Amino acid sequence: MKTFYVNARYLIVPVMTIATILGLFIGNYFAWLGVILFGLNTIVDTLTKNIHLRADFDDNGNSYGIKRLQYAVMYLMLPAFIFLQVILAWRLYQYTSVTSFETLSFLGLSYQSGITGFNLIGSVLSAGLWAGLGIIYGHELSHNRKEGFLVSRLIMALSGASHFTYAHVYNHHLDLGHEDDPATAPRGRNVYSHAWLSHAGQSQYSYDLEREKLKKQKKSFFSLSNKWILGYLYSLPSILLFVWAGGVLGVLSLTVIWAISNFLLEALNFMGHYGLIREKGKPVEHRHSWDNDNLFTSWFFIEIGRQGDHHVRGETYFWELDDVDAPNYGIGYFSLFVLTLFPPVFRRFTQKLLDDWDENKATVAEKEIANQFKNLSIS
Amino acid sequence: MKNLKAICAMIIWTAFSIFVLYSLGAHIHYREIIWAIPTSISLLIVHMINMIIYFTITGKEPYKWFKAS
Repeated sequence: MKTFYVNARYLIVPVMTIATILGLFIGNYFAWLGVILFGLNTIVDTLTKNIHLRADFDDNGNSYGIKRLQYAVMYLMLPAFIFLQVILAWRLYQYTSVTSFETLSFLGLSYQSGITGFNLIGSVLSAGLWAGLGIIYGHELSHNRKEGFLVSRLIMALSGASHFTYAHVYNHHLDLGHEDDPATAPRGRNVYSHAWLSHAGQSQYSYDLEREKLKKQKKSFFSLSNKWILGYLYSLPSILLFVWAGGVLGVLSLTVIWAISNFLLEALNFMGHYGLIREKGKPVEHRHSWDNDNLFTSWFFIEIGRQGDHHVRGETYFWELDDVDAPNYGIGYFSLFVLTLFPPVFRRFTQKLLDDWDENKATVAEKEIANQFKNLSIS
Repeated sequence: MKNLKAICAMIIWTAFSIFVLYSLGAHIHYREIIWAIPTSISLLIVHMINMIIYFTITGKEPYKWFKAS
């Protein structure tokens, strides 16, 4: 029973992704289901902000997590996210072809053929939000050294961010808490500028890495050995699908999906490390990440909120990550995400937490860097 | 400043590319696969060149924490 409970609790995103796909398929107002679910999750996350659980182990210290099951789920999210884009493309095709409205049936399930402009907007927003939330699987699999790494690249490519897989492991994890890591947001930066800077910075890391590597190998930059180029090529099927299905409207829709999903990804990076500082060359410790480990955030985001433990034990399975007394916002990702959308409110919220970090967790060198921010009136 | 320059250059490059695709009629023929494939490849290249424009003009400047010093 315990084994079932520990493994089933991580199925919230797969179930809700399927619900979003079904909503797009059924059509009419169900096209907005993905947006509604996102809103409901924010409420549930806020209501459960005070429930914090530890990782579950049996008496012998073994985890209840079933590796094969959890990996099968993560791998199956790739076809699920592809299907999400295919269903949206089908709706775009109907809209641009001015398909007439009628109720039809498929395998006993009634759906509305044809879609209004209003419901198409709902479909695009739903797909964008759930493509963005699905990025948690791209993140988790980026730490796999086998086939999972490629699956991660392919999941991220659906959002035009295949470069993430390399940059996350070889840049973010190694340079965390320092300006060499574009995914670490310094004090004073807002989530909007961070979303672009972190996205571009990670792509630039991958671009520079490949340029240097190919130069050493005396190969041309324009080669299929170039993983930066290859990563973008993985996104080509998505572009082709949306161009063919919707023309200009299809390109605009894909742009919105990529913008939303990358914004959500970078918002996670933003929340995970905002304002925390590490002296260059010093080891990454628990204090260099913010934990978000309330019940709903932990289960929904497959423990990605246990950043303190994750950054010290990067290859540990998510179901084994635990509370390590890292700095903690005390609220979940959904609630905190809403705060980040209002930068002055977010800064006011984090002020006391950062002051506490400076006072009780920072080393002398880290405090000196923190003081440089204060001297610039950034706190 | 470099950020602004880069974003201006990206807008100009994107506008020029869209103008070329529009002039060729890509927005009309997108359902013909013989048009859809090159249009998609063109859009991907436009995006990749946009990223390279940004990297080249800004370098590492946008990521510096203390620009004043």
